[in-house]
Amino acid sequence: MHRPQRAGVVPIAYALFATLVLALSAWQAPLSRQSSGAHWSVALLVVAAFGVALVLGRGRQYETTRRWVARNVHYVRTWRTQSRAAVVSAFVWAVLIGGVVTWDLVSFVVQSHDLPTLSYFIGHVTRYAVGRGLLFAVWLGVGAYLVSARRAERRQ
Amino acid sequence: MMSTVVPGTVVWVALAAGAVVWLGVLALSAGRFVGPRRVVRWFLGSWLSRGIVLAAWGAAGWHVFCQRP
Repeated sequence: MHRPQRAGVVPIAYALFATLVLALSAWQAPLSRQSSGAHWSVALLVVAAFGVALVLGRGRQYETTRRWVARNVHYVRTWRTQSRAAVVSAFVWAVLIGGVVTWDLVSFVVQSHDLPTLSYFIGHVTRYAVGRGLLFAVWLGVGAYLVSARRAERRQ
Repeated sequence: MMSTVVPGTVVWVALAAGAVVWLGVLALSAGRFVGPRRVVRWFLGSWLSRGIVLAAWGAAGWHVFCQRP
């Protein structure tokens, strides 16, 4: 009984969300980074993302934090018994993600012309209205995925 | 006019090249290794990890659209 209703509502929800993203991005595109409009909109969207994540995740988070941590600690402790592909994957992802985060932090703290941060390169895109608008749309899409993806069935 | 490549840029290019090579390996390995989608879903597995990723997303948005570049 509920399935057909849900099947009809979901595409409409996606279409509304896509329209909202496009409208917000078009509005955001010409703003400067110092403008109060840019500050308020980004701050409100971040607060809204946390709010929606809490509402969507109530009883639907895949694992408890304690269980998630325990499972990962167990995985690290028993890495010799894991498959070779899983260990190689974990190592490469850790090097890539850790490398980007560490190098960006080092470059940010040192503040030298010789050590540009990632945002320095991104600034070459966001200095143009089109680039800023497109990147804003991508940022919103990523945020929506982080808020809504991997939800379990609601626990009774 | 020639622009000089600073040392920090070399590190970024190396990281980008490493990511491209790894994505190429993933594309050719037919699901044998853990891909980016599974990594993101791993981060979304608990409230703590999801909160950390969302906080990083928010901080990145603030920095990129309201501050430095």
